[in-house]
Amino acid sequence: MANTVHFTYGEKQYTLEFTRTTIAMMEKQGFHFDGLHTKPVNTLTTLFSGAFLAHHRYTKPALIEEIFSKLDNKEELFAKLLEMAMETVDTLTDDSEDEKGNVAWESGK
Amino acid sequence: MGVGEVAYSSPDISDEPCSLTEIYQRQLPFYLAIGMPYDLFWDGDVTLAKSYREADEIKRKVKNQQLWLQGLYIYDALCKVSPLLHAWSSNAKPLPYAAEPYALTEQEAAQRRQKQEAQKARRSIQGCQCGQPKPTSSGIVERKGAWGRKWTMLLIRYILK
Repeated sequence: MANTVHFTYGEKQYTLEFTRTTIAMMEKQGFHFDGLHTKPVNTLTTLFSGAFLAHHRYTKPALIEEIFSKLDNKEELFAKLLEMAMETVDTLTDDSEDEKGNVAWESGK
Repeated sequence: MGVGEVAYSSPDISDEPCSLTEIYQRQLPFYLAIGMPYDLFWDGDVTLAKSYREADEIKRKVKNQQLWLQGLYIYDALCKVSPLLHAWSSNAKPLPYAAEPYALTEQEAAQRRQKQEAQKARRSIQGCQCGQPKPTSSGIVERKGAWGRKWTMLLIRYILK
């Protein structure tokens, strides 16, 4: 199963997910992952609104902004969204090399 | 890589930096070729691509196994007809082709062994039933033993009279 983000806002349950079509749509509208270095804020908010395209395509931009402003732990959310976006590419490539000799790590407190 | 082994994989994506859409476009023909539907590639769960790749690998292994088995049958058949290939042999006869396909699993092989042993046992039991009368070629039951001797003695006495 693909990585997804779930939350409830205004008694409605939302599922954020990326498909290859939604990433292609975002890129067509001018989104580029290189922007993460030059204009990170814009890029990350666009990434967040793009994650609505798969399951909640007709959500109004104003509502997305409202939800975005009320969400906490944004850094972790963006990391997750980036991981979800990159998964659309990572799953296309042979992962046999990744499994060899990579060192596993996990965060601790 | 062995002789005749065919290796193929999805196109390399690490050539030069490009947009994700370009990467998808480049990979798309490979996934269509291994049977992934177009809609599923673009709109489905992104992790399905990996499953399709793994399924394709299994299919390739099965195909390779089938080809190997076919080669084995051909080799076996050639070995069995090889007596005919001796040019100076006067009465060369080919060996019969295998009566049934090769057992592919241990279980199947064990079942066949049991079946063969049962047949062997049945044949040996039938061979041991010598005390019972055996029908002759004309259909008359040939009686041996006590009854046969009795009739012979009666016949001798009748002649001597």
